[in-house]
Order: sequence, then C-alpha cells, then structure tokens
Amino acid sequence: MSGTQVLEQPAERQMIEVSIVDIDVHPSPRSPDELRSYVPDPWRTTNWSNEVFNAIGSPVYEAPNKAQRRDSYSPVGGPPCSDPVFSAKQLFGEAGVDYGILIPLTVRPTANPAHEAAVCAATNMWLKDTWLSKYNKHGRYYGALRVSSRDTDLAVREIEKWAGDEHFIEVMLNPYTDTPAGQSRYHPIYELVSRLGLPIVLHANRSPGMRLLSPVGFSSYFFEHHSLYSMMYADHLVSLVFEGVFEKFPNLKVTLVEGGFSWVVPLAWRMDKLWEEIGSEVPNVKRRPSEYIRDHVRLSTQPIEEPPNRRDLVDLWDLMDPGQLLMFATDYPHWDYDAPREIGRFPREARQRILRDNALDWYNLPSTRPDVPLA
Amino acid sequence: MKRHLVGPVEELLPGNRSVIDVEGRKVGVFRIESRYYALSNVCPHAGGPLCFGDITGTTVVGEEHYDLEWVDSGKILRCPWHAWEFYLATGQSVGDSRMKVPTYNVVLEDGNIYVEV
Ligand code: FES
Repeated sequence: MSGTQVLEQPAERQMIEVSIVDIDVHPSPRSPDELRSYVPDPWRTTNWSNEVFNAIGSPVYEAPNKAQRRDSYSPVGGPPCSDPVFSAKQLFGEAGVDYGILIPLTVRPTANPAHEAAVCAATNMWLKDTWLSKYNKHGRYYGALRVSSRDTDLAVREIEKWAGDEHFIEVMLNPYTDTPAGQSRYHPIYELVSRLGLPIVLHANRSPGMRLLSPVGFSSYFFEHHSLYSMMYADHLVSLVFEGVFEKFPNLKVTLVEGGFSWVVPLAWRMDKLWEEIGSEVPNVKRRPSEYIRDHVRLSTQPIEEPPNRRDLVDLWDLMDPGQLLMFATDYPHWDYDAPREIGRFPREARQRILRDNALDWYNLPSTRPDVPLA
Repeated sequence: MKRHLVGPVEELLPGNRSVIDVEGRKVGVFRIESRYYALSNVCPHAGGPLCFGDITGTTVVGEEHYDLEWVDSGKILRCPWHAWEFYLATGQSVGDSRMKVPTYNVVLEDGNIYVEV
C-alpha cells in the first residue's frame, strides 16, 4: 500500500466528546395555550384554569426569586426556558452542558386521575413536537415521559404509546402520591419500564392541597417544605427496597432528582441494620438494602449540600461511593440552580463519573455528539 | 485605581442599572432613587451574575412570633440565582457577616457617570 494516497472522506460532522450531562432541565411552553392545544377533549374545552399547567408557582409556598433564576428570562419574552435560543446560550454556552434531560413540570397532580393523564399526554406530545424535535436539531436534548402516578392503567397506556421513542429515555412519576412507590399498584408500570429499559424518575412537582401535608401538619414556610423534600424521597425509597421491588424487577432503575442526597447514607445504615437483624418481616428482600440502592438507584447532585466545612461532604461520602451514586443536575432555570463547578466539592476521581459517566451509562447515551452550531 | 466611563447620566434612569465590562471584570452600576452604587457582578456564593438580581428589602422579627417587619426596602440586591441578599451600599451580605461583595466608588462629572475600579 505504500505510496497510495488515502482519499479524503466526504466532510463529516466532527464529533465532540461529551463531558457534562445535566439530568434536570425544566422547559416551559411559551404560554399555557401552547400546551392547552395538545390536551385531548373533554379536558381541553372544559374551562380549566391555567394553574393546572403551572410548574411551580403556588399560592401555598412561594420559592425565592419566584422559583426562577432571575437572569433566565429571554429578551423575546415568555417564561424561563421557553425560548430555545436563549436557553441554549445559558445551558450549553455558559454552563457548558452537552446533554440536557428535560423534565417538564407542567402536570400538577389533579383531583381526577383521567384529567391528570390527559395533561400528561398533552405534555408528552408538546415536548416531542418542540424541545425534542423542532428545537433539537443539535440532538442534545432527551426527555422524561410524564405519566399519572394515580392510575396505573392510564400510565401503562401512555408508556406503551411512546415505547421505542428515541428521545424519551425515562418515565417520571410524581412523588406527591397517596401510596408509597414500592406498593403493588405500581408494579405493572415497573414491569413495563424494566422491559423497555427506561428508568423511573421521581421529581417533586407540587400541587396545592393535602399532598403538601407533612407527617406532622402543614409547615408555615417554604423553607420548611423545601428542606423536607428529601423526606418524601426517603419514604418512597424505603418502600421500594422493603417491598422487594428490586428483587421482583431486577432491571428496574430509579432516579431521585432534586431530593438532595447525603441523607441516603444514614438511612441505608438503618435499613441495613434492620434487615440484617430481623429481616424476617420482609422475606422478599434478599440482599442488603444498601446494595439495592447501589445497583438500582441514582440521585441528582442538585440541590448541592453545602456543609460549612466542605470536607464533611467528602468524608460522609467515603462511606458510600459518590462516584457511583450521583449524577450532575443544574435544575435550570430554577432558582436553586447548580453550575457544574459545584462538582469540585467532590473528590477528583469521582468528578467525571458524576458529571458524565454515570448518566451516560444509566441512560445509555452516546459518549460523543456531533458538533452542530447552536443557532 | 482607575476611573472608567459608564455613560451619560441621562442614560441611566432611576431604578435602572448597567452592567459594564471593566478590563475583563464585570461591574454593575445602579441608580436607585437619587443614589448610585457599583458592585462586582460576581456573587461570592456560587458565582451567579449578582447585578441582574432584584432590588428588594428584607425581613426582621418584631416582638411577637409572627410579628415580621419589612425593612431596608430598595437598599438590598438579591442574587438572581439562590437569592442571597447584599446591601447595595456596602456589599455586605445580609445573612452571613463573613460574606461581602466588592463595591466601587461612583463619580458623577460633567454629566457622565464614572466608576473607580
Ligand atoms: S450565586 Fe448568588 S446566591 Fe448563589
């Protein structure tokens, strides 16, 4: 072959190594009407208030800065993260994110499960049409499929409808439920998503009313409510483990997003101890709870925990490998946004896994992406 | 310390701000009622673009449990990210006495606003 010139390949898009996956981005429709147009009847023409679609505003607890990064409003108007050009500038440009996993918070739990399922269906069609297609020429967005946590049949139907779609890479259950996540009524959902290889994601999506009730009553302040998010996630996690769900569905993966993470360490100690000493109450549980957590559960880093002594976070996590359990999230465009630099709090050897590797594995995403200009 | 032109006074209306680049450093210049302030745009918490935040006040407790008072209205800048609060005049954090944002002198001369950085 010596002396033979290799002909140049036709110009191919250059590929870029992915370095940051953000597992929690919240896109909004430009207006409630944009989403409303996707809602199937009778729910569309019945005159529901826009509050049904309202991601985070609440007459009960108001988050600081109206729950949004105040610099995330596009100059062309509309709510934060409704203009794909401006959002790309902040998320891909300023933050340096390569892939964003979109979790639309446009479905509040409603009283009627069929209504909730209709808003889920609308959200999925809207997301697919806009952020996952029209706004996704660069291929850097993936999404969570919304289904109603309150009616298993309707949830299963919605998942089946989208099975095999390349963009929906996980299924979200709203954790504001009346039944812990491990109980049997959810099992048909787990059976289906395990078969399809889609993780379940739990992400807070508040509703006014009884679901804001803490076990000891209603809190006065938003900060109480926000500090207690992790309790809700802990309730579901304990249920998933002790109901033996991970034994029954050995491929099931559960992502806990925006519930904090350091709490999982002492909780696992307690669960392990109970199981080791008197496991006979839960014969479905065959392994140490902490092992199920390690193999089946991932947590988002956002909202990052900020102990006054940074070292404390690392010490705590020496006990349970942060490089394995955590995935980076910004929560863009919300007020408690974390920039990627926050991952500098973790030991050097864990950083790349938190920022990238864990999410690529968990969601089975390509490790390189085409170098497509943003606009 | 050098003096840098921000712009003509009449272009910065009361209640407004202008974030300028001073030799690679971003500085926010505010005109709030009759006063001018200049602060670094980098929030000491997590590097958020501080000077894009809302001007606000803060809450202090009164005598009784639910007796809250709203004070220092218009004197506080709230970071657009995690809502930390800083006094416009001193850069001092409201919640954490160890935190401070650099502040700069604002000078008005011949109808222009200058900042000394
Ligand atoms: S970056 Fe300003 S409050 Fe966090």
